[in-house]
Amino acid sequence: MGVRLRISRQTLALLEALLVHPAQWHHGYALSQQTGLASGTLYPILMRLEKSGWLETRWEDVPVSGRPPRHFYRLSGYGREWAREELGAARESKFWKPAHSKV
Amino acid sequence: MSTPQNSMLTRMAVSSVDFAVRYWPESSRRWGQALLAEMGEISEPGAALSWAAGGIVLFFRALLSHFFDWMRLPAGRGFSRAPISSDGKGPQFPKHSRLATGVILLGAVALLLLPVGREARNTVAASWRGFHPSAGDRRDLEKIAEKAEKEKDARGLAFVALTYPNPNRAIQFADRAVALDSSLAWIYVSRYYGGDIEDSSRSTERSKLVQKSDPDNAFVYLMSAFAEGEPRLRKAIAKAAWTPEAPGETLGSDKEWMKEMETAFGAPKYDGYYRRHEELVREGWKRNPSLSPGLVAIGLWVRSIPDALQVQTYADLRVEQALQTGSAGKVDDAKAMLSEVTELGTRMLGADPTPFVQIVGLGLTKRGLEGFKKLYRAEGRTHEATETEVQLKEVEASSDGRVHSYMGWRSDVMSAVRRKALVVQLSAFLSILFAVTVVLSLLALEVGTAFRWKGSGMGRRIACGVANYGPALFLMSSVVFLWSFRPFAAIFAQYRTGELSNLESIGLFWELFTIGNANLLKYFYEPYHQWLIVTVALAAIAVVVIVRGLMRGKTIAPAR
Repeated sequence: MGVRLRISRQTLALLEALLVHPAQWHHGYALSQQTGLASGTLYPILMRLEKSGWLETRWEDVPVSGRPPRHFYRLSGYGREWAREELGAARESKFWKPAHSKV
Repeated sequence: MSTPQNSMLTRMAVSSVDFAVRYWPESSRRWGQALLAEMGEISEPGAALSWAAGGIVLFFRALLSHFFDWMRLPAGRGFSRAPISSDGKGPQFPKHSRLATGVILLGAVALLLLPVGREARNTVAASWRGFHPSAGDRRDLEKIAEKAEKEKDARGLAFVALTYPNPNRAIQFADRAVALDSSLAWIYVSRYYGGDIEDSSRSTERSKLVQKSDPDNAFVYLMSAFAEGEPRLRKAIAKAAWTPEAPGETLGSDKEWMKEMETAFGAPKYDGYYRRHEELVREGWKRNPSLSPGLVAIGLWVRSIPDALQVQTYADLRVEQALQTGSAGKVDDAKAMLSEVTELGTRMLGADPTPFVQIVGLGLTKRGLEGFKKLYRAEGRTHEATETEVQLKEVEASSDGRVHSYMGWRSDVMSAVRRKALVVQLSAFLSILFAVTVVLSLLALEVGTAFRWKGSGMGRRIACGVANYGPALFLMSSVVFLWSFRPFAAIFAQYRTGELSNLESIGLFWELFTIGNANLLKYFYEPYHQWLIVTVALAAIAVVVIVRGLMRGKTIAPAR
């Protein structure tokens, strides 16, 4: 908490992707494909969201043999409320146009 | 389906991220591991490479962030906060972060790297070397000469010839300059080479070139005579005990010397190339303002001036010869001989404002007039003898006045500048002292962490104290150093722009040399002072050990 987050178009795109199925856990590569964000852009946003307390993370419980466990992400309860507010405000100010109709 | 090449690319991408994760800062390593774990899901090599590239960028960002976090801690402190010492007490650390310490140190270094800082450093460093040029100074001059040679710039080469410290190398530049522009032949005699030129085969040729370029100038012949007479005088002094008559006996028998002197005394003008020499050095420094002022001092100092002993020796011989001629009845011839002596003195007085040359000139005039007085008395011409006596008294008064004003002027300048120079030297010395102790303390604290330097002992406390206050003291002493150097920088700037008068520019020497005289480090060169410092240091350590022992004894006593 206490970390100021810059709401960029990339952040809004990620919030939108995380809100499509908010209760589900998402992994990095899938989020990258959904948002079109490169790993070098995606992970710093994930790190900041987690530091702000709006993102929950966990490691894969049973990793597939031969590869390391994957990391999963979803918005926390507060995070979802905050994300909806931010997306709504951005939409109203025409700063951002949603890619998905259901948010 | 991936080709072998593609799979190799994928493997490369995975390996690079895997390698980065190994060196990833611990605080954010899990993000690197998360990024690496995703790579197992990427089959397309291009995508894998792009993913890995993002990972590497993230790795460097993590390193940078880790570095800034580390910089926010005080020197010697790592990220682990576990106490190092066995007594449970953590080690002592400086109060300020590495970042704050680094910013102050960089500020001080940046100040010293400014152009004025560079000039101040160069000047003080040159004064500490007794104005002996450094290897860097020589390289600077070689570069200037190289550039001048390429551009066929004779004056540039002549400047190097006048300022280059090694006379053997300097004469090579002089040869090149004169080859490009024969009107610069005067530099052969304007610089004093000290008679140490290894390749003396061209000495006569050079001398003739100068005489050809300026045949009416007494100075040119005087310099040839000095070159001839100097080794003979040295030999004579080495062979026998020195007597007042020795120079006359040694040099009077040298026909070559007598011939050159005769031409010099009979020449219609005197020009010691004082102005040309100074203009050339000034011009060179103006074109190369970053050049060490020490080199410029050499350029001005190595200027040839009349050899007072040889000039006076010839004048005495000439006066004696005139008196003998007069007693033989050839009074007009005797007068002509004496006039040569007085006139050369008068020409010197008018041509060169350098105090030394002025004094030599007055000495010649005085000798000539004394000759006239003796001649008139021998002839029984009382009236002329009295008039000459009056003239002589005027010259003596003028001579004494000039000597005293010269010495007085010198002492005035010296005393006015000494305090300023002392502040420059002291602040420069303290800047170095603080910089060195701060760097050593920081190194000790940082390296000490690796070697688990424990607790809060005296050494640790000193290192922390120096790390706390040293950077600020270094910055302060650097500011004082540059501030106190301002009057000297102003004099240098005025000299370069030609705003200083001739006499004032001579003052430049004194300014420079006073800085050298105020050099504190010179005390460390003498063995007596070195031993004194060692003795005082050992005594101080002994006092500390005894006092600490006594203090411990006192604290134990009440427990019994």
